[in-house]
Amino acid sequence: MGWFIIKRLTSLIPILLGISLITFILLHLIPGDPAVAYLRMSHIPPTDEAVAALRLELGLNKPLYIQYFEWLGNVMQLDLGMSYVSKNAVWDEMLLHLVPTIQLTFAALIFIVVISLPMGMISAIYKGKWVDQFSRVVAFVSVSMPTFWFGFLLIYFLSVKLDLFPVLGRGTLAHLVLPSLTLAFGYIGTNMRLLRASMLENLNEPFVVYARARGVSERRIVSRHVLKKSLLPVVTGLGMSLGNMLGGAVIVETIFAWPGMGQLFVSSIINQDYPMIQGCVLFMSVIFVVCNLFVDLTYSFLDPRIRLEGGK
Amino acid sequence: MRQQPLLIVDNLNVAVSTPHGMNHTVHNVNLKLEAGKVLGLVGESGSGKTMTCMSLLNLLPEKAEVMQGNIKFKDIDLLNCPTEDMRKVRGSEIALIMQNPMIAFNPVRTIERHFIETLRTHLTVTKRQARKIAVDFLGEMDLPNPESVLKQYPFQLSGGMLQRVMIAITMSLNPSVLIADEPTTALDATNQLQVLKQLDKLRKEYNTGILLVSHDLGVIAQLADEVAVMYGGYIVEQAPVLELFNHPKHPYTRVLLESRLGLTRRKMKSEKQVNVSRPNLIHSENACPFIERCGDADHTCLSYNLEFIEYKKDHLVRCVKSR
Repeated sequence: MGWFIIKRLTSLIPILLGISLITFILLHLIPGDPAVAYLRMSHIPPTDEAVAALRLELGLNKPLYIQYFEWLGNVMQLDLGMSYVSKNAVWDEMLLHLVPTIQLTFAALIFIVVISLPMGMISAIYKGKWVDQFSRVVAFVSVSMPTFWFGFLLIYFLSVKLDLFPVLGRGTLAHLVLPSLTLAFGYIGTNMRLLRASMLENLNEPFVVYARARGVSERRIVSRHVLKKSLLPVVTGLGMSLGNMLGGAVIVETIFAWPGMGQLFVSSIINQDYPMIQGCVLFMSVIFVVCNLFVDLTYSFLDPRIRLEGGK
Repeated sequence: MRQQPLLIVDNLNVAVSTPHGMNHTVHNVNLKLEAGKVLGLVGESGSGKTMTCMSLLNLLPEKAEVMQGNIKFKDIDLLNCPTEDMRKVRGSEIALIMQNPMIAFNPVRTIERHFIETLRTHLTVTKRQARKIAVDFLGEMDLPNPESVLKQYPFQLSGGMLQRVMIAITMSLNPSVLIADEPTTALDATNQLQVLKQLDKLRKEYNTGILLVSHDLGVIAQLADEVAVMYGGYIVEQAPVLELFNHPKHPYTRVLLESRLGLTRRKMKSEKQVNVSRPNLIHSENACPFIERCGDADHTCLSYNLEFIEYKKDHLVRCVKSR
């Protein structure tokens, strides 16, 4: 198991190298001079001399590959550079936005698990009954309704009309409810349907017939036999949702003025803040690989076939 | 002297709903099973063997239902018995051994969990006591090192071992009736022999009545006291095992026996007889179900009422020609 984790973490190295190289090249293909953008952000008129001086200072005049290797060398020393906009270290800036993102993501994850798993389970057990029909509608709405619209609905009814939660901002636990519910809503449908499909499939397996033939109660068959095996695809679904959410939920963050990674990333792209973009991309890659690793570990915990046969 | 049968199946009819209407898969099946006896049920795939077995346990698939008939176990009417009572009968009174042991166990749970769960469903024992019972019965099945078998997951054991685990689970609750649905089909020859030995032991030592389902006449010949041959949802012939093997009356039984003997000349004849076409089960109201594949069929077979004809005592045939 230990080896497995180490192997997966070493696979991060080529992935990160590849991703950073590609973003680096793509960034320099974007029209517009970052030096000009930098000067505008600093309210300095972008005269030719000023631009040239700044390009020299930021190292933007050097050949591309030298710029890349210089950046890479700094990254090795955990120095992601300095933001062109705020003039703060990219690290500090990212940490500042990371905490709200993690809060939002995990609150949303709790909503997803608490809502979609029971609903998926119930709709599989009562397949075709009204509960199932209802959950089908919820799933469709969840997948197809635009996030911003759902967010506005929540704000309108729960904040403005009923005054249950604050409209926007960050601070208390109550502030967290609406944004995380909005973020969770889009993922609920998929995970619910995944569990339902997987449970229905397993309910038709011969091992269920055999369990029934041994007199095992229906409740126990569902909770001990079917559920555990049916969670496998859902774990994949949840892991992917987790990666997506940690990468930043731009729309939700914008609606609720939530200072998360998504906002940071989008504004850094708009401002052509090269070091910040690179830093965010690196961060997201790490998040995705780690989430995948987490999914695989959960898998091997849930499925002994992987634990005992695949782990060699 | 004949004892009271444990299990009586009376005029059982099962139908499966299909997009084309109700498809009768089991027709007027009558069976009697006595304690300590083995009743063989032979027939090809789709002949209604498994459907018959599953109706005994009230475990028919969703789309299938019993249209008519009675199933009586001791004094219980199995078809009209409350779900909870039926659940208590399953496993402890009527046990099932499944066809493919490799998929009958839940791959994410250990053998121990399967075993203990079954015991604790029917007996009031602690986990530790249940574990001890499990070890004892696995040992009795000649499984080497029962302790470690318990810790294994199903996919870590071979089909033959799993089949023996299944028999051990069955034996531990000492059921009156065992339904063994193709217990040896998925196994290789060595394992087959061992499983048959264990079933024989079950019958002799525990006086269990066994309904042995198979398409393999060799298996039936080794264990069964009486045989019922199924074709197209009907029992076409029923007789004590020796009688059936020595004097097969129904053309289908003869084909089955001949194909088993494997003599070249006869085999060719049987291949000619057995048309590859499947019986069209939906349109067989009055005609003999075997009519399309029977070498001796003529117009009398079209309007045969499918009543049993008693060839001699205990030997029943559903063929108009055997009259």
